[in-house]
Amino acid sequence: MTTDKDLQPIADLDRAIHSPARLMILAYLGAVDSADFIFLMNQVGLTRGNLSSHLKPLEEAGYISIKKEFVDKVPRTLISLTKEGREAIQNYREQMRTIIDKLLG
Amino acid sequence: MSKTKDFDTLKRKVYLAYHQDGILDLTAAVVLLGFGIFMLTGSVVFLSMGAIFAALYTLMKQRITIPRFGYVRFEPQEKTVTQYWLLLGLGVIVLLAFLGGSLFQGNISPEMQALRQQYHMVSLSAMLFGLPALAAAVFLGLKRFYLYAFLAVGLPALGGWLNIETYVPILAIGFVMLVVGIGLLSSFLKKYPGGGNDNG
Repeated sequence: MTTDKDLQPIADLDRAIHSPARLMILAYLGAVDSADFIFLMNQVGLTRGNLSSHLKPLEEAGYISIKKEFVDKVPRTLISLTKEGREAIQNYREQMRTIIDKLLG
Repeated sequence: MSKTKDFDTLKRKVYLAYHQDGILDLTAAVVLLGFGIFMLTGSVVFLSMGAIFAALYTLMKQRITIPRFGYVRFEPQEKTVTQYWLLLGLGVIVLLAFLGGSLFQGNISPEMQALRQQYHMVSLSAMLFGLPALAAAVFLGLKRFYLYAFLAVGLPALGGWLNIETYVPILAIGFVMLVVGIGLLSSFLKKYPGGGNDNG
C-alpha cells in the first residue's frame, strides 16, 4: 500500500488505543483515580470476556495497571491509568488532530 | 495533559451516576422523619433511628451501589474558593441568627419575640437540615439537594406563617426526600440489576 506523506500519521496511530472500546476504557480511567472491572463493564457496555480481551493489550502496553484484591472475600479487579497511558492518550489525540487538519485543511 | 481539564465532563457524569442511587436521599429522609416523629411524640427512639440509619450509609453503599454500579475511586472534588466561602458565610449567618435569637431574648420587643417564637423552626431547620443539604448540593454537585435546602427553610417558614405544628414541615421535607429516594433507588436497581462477582 502506498502511503501519502500527509497521511503518514494514520499509519503511525497507536494500535493499542485505536479502537472505540479501548478509547472508552482509557477515557473512563482518565476521568477517575481507579475503578473496578464491574464499573468498566457497565460504563463501556462490554461483556466480561470482551472487556478482559481489551484490558490485556492495554496492560501489556503499560497503559493501565491491574491489581487484584479481595474485599469481604469478594474478588475485586482494580484498574487505573498509568502515566504512560495518560501520555498515550495525549499523543493519540494530537495525531488524530493532525490527521483531521491535513485531511480537511 | 491536564486530567481535570480533559476528563472533567466525563468525571462529572460518572460522579453524578454514582450518587443517583437515592441512598443519600433515603438516609436524609429517615433522619428528618425520625426528627419529626421525635418532635411529635417526644420519644428519643425515633431520633436514634435517624442516627443509626445515617451510620449505615457507607454499609448501604457497599452492599447496594458498589456490587451493581462497580467500585470507583474519585479524586478529591476541586471546588472554587468562592464556593467554600459562600457556604462558610451562609453557615456563619445562620449560626449567628440562631445564637442571636437565643441570647438576646430580653432585648427585643414582645412583637418581635412573638414573631421569633412563630418562626423559630426556620433557623433550627436551616441549621440542622438546610446547611447539610446545601453542602451536599455544592460539594457533591447534586442539584436536587438545592431543592431540599430550599424546602428546609421554606416549609418551616410557611408552617410558621400558617401557624401549623412545627413537626409538620419537617415531616413534609422528610416525605419529599423519601419519595425521591425510593424513585431513584428503584430506577438505579432497574438500570444496574447486579452481575455477580468480579471476573476481571
